Amino acid sequence: MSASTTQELFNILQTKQRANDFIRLFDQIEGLSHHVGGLDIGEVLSSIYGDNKPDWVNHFAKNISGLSSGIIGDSDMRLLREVREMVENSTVVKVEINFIPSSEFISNVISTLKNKYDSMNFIIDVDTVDSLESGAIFYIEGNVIDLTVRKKVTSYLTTQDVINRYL
Amino acid sequence: MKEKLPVYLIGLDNFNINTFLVFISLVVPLILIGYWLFYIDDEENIENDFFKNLGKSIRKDKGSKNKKESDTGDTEVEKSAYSDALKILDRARADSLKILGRAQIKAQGLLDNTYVISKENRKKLEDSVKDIYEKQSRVLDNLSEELLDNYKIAIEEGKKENIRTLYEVTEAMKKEAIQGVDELKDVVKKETMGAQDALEEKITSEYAKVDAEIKEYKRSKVESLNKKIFELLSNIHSEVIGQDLDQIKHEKLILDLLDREIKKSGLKINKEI
Repeated sequence: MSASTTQELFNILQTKQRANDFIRLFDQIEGLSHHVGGLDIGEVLSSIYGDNKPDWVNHFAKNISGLSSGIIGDSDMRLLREVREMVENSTVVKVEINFIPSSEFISNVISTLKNKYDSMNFIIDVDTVDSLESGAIFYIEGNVIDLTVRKKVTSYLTTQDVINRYL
Repeated sequence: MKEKLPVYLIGLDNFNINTFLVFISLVVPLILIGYWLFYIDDEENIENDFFKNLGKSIRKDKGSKNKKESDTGDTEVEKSAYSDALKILDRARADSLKILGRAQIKAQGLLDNTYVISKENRKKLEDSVKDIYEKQSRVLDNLSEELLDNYKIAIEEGKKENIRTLYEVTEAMKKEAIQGVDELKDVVKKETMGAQDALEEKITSEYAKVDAEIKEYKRSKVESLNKKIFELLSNIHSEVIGQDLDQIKHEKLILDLLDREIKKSGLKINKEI
């Protein structure tokens, strides 16, 4: 397995929720490493996620054959462990927003951050706040990026001398 | 002042001794003639007391005449009238005799004095007259001076009285003027205070009116400003956002803002390798 596969698998996770789901799966599989014989992966997934099996599991299963057969070898476990380590070492970016964002939006946010900080891995923690006005607030390692429309309008009024121009 | 004598002495210098002698020489013979006509038959008593004999001779004459008339036997009326006439005549005669007697006594005195007056006496008399004149002049001078002094005193007193009166009048006028000024001041003060009260009331009223107008203007202005602000925000919103937002646009807006902000701010992240 190459590093690109590990990065690809990590990139599939994207959000904190999905990353946590992955960690729960990894922990379950790791806990069953002494299990004799093959695992019933479907039963394991059901025990973890119930009927709401995450969609990323299928992507992982395509790259990790043991997740399909139930026989998880050492290479598979090593790959899962690397992904987990990437999750643990990633930068969690909290986003407050007043609607449930699309996966494309999450991907674009990560892409935007990666364009600036290419060497870093990001996990997006989405917090839906209904009372929030249009826009979003980003919290990145102690930095706050207020992208609400009100804030931007205020900034615009201040920096563009709108009061004198219009009043 | 000494040139003229008092009025009662005017003409005394004309009544000189010569005039006096002429007067005596005319009067005395007339007296002697009268005496001779009435008492010629009693010449034996002439050498006695002249005045006593003169009265007796009159009574004797009257008694003898009454005796003669009663003897004639006229009527009683005639007697009475005659008697009355005689009484009047007797009284007139007695009076004239008394006058003549007094005149004679005075004449006699004057004659005696006349004979006594000599040149020396005349000079004394003139000196006396002169003394009297000078004395009178001095008296008059003193009187004049006294009158002048009294007049001066009276003038001074009058002047003082006038000054005092003027002072009192001035004080009264001053007091009246001050009182008038005080009254005027009170009136002015009263009017001023009244005007001030009216002014304050008017100012208060005007202030309330202006305050109400300002509040109304403020309310309308705020309302207008609010409208303008809403319009402005709408314009800004359109300018900043560009168009109405659906979720796709909203997400795109956030991504654009995030990209712009990260590029602009140069965000520092500690985990950056």
